Amino acid sequence: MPKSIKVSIVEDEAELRLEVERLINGAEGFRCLAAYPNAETALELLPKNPPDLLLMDINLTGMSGIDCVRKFRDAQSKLPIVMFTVYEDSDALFKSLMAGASGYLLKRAPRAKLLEALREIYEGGAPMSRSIARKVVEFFHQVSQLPPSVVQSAELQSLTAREQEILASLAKGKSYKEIAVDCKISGDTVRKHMARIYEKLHVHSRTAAILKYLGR
Amino acid sequence: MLGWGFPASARQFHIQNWHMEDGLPDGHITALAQTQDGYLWVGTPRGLARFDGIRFKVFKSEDTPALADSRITALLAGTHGGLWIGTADGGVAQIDPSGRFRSLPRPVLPGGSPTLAGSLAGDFPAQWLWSLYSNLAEDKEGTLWWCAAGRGVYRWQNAQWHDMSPFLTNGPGDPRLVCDFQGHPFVLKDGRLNSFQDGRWGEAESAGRIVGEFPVVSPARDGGIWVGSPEISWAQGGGRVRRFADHSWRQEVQPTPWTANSLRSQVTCLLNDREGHLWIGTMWGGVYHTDAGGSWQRLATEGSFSQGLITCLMEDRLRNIWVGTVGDGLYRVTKRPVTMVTLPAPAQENLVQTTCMTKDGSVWLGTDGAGAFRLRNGIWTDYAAAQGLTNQHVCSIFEDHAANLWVGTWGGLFRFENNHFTLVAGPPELRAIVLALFEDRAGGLWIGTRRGLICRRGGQYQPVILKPDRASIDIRAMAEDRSGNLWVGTVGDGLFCIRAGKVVAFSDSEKYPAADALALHCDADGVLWIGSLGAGLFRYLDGKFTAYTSADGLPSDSFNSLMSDDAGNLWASSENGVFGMDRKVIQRYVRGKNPPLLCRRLSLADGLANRACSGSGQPVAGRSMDGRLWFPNMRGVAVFDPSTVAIQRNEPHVVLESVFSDGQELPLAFSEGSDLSVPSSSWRFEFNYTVPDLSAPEHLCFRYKLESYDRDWVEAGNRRSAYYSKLPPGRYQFRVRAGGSDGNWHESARALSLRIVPRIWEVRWMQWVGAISLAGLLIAYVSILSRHRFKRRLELLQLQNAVERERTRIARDIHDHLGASLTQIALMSELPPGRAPDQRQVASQLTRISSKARAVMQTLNEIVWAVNPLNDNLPKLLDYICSMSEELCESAGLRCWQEVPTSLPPTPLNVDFRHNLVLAIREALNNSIKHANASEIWIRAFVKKDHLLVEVQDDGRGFDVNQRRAQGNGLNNLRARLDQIGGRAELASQPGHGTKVTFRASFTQN
Repeated sequence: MPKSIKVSIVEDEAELRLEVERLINGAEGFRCLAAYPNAETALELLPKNPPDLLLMDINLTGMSGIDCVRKFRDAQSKLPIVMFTVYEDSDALFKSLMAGASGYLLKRAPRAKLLEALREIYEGGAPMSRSIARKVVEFFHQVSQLPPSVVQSAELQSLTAREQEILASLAKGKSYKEIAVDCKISGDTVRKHMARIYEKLHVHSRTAAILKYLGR
Repeated sequence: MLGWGFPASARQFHIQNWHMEDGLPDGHITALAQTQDGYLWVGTPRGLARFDGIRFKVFKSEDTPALADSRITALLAGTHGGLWIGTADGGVAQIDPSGRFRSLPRPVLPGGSPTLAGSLAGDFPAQWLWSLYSNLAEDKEGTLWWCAAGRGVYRWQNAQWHDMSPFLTNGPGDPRLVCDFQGHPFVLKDGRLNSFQDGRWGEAESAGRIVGEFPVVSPARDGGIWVGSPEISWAQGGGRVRRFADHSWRQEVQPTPWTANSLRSQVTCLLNDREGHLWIGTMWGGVYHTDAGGSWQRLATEGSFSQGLITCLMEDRLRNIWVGTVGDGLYRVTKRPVTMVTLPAPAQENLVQTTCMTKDGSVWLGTDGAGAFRLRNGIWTDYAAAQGLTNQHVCSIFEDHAANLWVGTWGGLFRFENNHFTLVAGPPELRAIVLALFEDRAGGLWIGTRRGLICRRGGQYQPVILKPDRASIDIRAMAEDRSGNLWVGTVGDGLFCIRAGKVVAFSDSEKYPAADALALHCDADGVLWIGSLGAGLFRYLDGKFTAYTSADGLPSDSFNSLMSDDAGNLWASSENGVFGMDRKVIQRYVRGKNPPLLCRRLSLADGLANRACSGSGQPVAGRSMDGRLWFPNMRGVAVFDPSTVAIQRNEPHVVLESVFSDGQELPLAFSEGSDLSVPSSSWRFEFNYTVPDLSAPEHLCFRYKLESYDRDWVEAGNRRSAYYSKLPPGRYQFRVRAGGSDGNWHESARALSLRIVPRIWEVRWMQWVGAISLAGLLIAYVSILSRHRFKRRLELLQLQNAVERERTRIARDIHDHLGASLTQIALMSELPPGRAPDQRQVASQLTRISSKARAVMQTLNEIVWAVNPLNDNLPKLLDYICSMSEELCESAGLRCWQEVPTSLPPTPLNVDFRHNLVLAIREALNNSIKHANASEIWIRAFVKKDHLLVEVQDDGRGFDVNQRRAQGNGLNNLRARLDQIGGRAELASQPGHGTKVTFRASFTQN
């Protein structure tokens, strides 16, 4: 039997935290390792008790979820973090992806969807919704507009043609499978490309200059 | 200015002095001349001064370019009105009649050199020689002649100097040039006298050798020239003063009046005045002159004038003699017309009260307390108690037609017969103080006393009652007019008139307004003159009294006596001297219209010993057989010949001298008709004007007016300056008038036109333009402001309105959408009481609750998204549309394809736009999902410059667009929604080929 995926959550709403914990615990192949009430506690306690996945609420009291993600990434943590949010605010979600999140989930998503997404991320997938894909494309478009000196000094990278193609197809509405077919590549390759895109995004997010320049 | 008084015996002249403190540039006078306009020109080594009688105006080479040298050595008044000026550098300058300076070129010396001929270079010679240095003269053709020491004699003709001296010897002496009164030039050099006649020089050999250095020449009134020559030397032997005329010496001053054997005896200048007297100025010996008797007098015996170094002598048009000295300044010598006759000792301190000229040529004088005196052939006889005059206080002496001499005293009336005074017996009034005596044409003798009036006819004395209720009336004067009426003047009771025996009292009524009538005189024209005590002079004619007071220019308002002379002048004595007036001028005089009366005043300067005249009865003044008038004075009797005194002044020549603007002198325009232009920034203006009057300038009256500024003439009195400040822009004319002795105002020949040039903002039309544009700007500003404010308020209202609508909408949305759903959830989650729940029912119930709750979350998401103002832009809108359509399609199981541009401009959109468009798109999507039986949906967005296009296409079964029923209300709703945001919704469909809804919304509808 595959071992259970250990999930920790950060959620400041007590009742919701309980519900989510129960949901995960009640799901096959999942186990809720810890449920932190805020980011500070998570930053402090999580390293001692590392999960496989972290589910992070965006709107937290005290430090925001996005900042928490950034802090984790600054600490060189490779932990996959999934943002958990009520509203689909693509700006905030994009920010969190920039900060280093690996995906997002809507709180109102059905149980099955929620668990499916968690499993996908655990397995290395890099889900990206259409709107996020568009935002990524726009972001890299802006990066390409920067003066070369800035780009060079920050060691930034732009998207490759394949990556751009994948993102464009995503934005249009194609599924990963369809993209693989269209591009005559395997689903794995697509996933790898997506992971690469995410990495680039994360790299860029760590560069203060770029952030400042793009006003994020 | 100093005026001397001399001891009584030598009071013939009034001498006045001017020095540097009066404005002269120097105390050394080198030359004098009077031009036709009346100005006196004074030459000094430090400039030329112009004198109008009051002020000196100095011209120096520093401020007068045409005057190359300030050292003036000669002056000559040209016959054509200007002035010729000789200077020490050898040049000649000219002032033309219009006042402009011009310098003449230097004459060319024989040999060619035109420079400084004969200039006083280096050491200056002795001061007194300056005036002799160069001579200017005009011959009978009016040609200018000039000679300078050490050089030659020149004539100015055709704008050129012609050398006239080739005949002259080459000796060391300086030439002396003079023209006699007939205009013949004479030159004296090295002892030889040359005359120029008929265009030729001829030596006057008959003159012989004129021996000596520094001779003096001057034209003679009797013809020819006077020559003063030192012979051997002035100091030894006294020199000679002779007249040369018609080729021989005609006259000689023998013996010379000055001290011989003295340096003082050097003659420096000569003058032959219009009366024929000879004036001689000496070096440190003053001035000598001949008197009427031909004997020599010294002008001053005391003071620095008596030892002055005289440089020049000049007679002006009014017969004053002007004397220039070295160091003592300028003197004016005026003959005093009045001589004082004083009583012999011991009566010198007594007052003369009355004068009477008797037919035997005697002059009788009555005194206060010393009896009566008689002067006959220069011999005095006094009459007192010894001769029967028991009362020495004599107030009135009168000789009647029968040569009886009546004497009124404080002790009554006396009659003089056979060298004896007898007291006249009669009514008791005769014993009173008798002050006035008068004889009418019928031979009646009128006696005025302090008690009343008595008339003597046929030897009978009859008192005349003037006022029945008055016990005594103080009678002072009586006169008879042409109609035979007798006028009586009193002190305290005014004036009475006895007409055909009837007494008319003129006082106590408005007819004769004064209380006293001290002097009465009926002149040859039948006019009655009344002198009052303090109320002025009255003239009575045809029942009307006219008053003249000091306000009209009379020196006094109180009169002692009135008298006419042969020339039609009225003479009066008062407490302020004696003065005479032209009767015609007074008759024409109207106060305010005519200038103040310019009387010929005789005062201390004219020889009067005391200003106040005495005598308060009648007769007071008298006329002797030689025509002289006698006026009793507080010190003796003032006697003068009215024909020599009543000088008709020329019409006053009014001159506008200068104009100053802010202290800077403006150049007076010399041509008629041109304006003086001054910018309007000038603050102060000063106009200086004068009438050159060398006799009595202090009595002149002026009035001026600045046309376009002054409403009326401004009376300036004796002031010779007018001041104005801050004149507004415009054209002005300054006019000035002086009052003449003819009783009229005389205006200057030239009026000054002044133009104040306005600065640009003072020009009238510019001001209007400025004012109008300012008003326009103000109006514009106010209207813009108000419009702006109105717009702001409107915007504010609109904003408030929008906010309110939005709040209402939100409230409604929440109420509508959420309220119902949550109610349902509440209902559904309640287990019915009692019965145990069916597992399957509960499961399905829970599923329903779950999906309902999810739907509520979705709605909440929408509401929150719509409300958040951060989403009021295009990128956020399209984001939302994509998310929404993706979610809807996914939950319905359809594929959703999206073609939305990634780079979007951040176009701002308002909440209505977003909301309605989103709802419309959702509705279209729902239609496709629910009714079209589609499997794929396309969402395409196109961003244009000013609008947005969104297409929602499905691959469902489509419908026939022409069938209205198929459309249903859906499309209408869509259209309505898009209408609200100013957009369009279009449907395109074909059965079997899907449906496409196109939404078009413009951005500018915000």
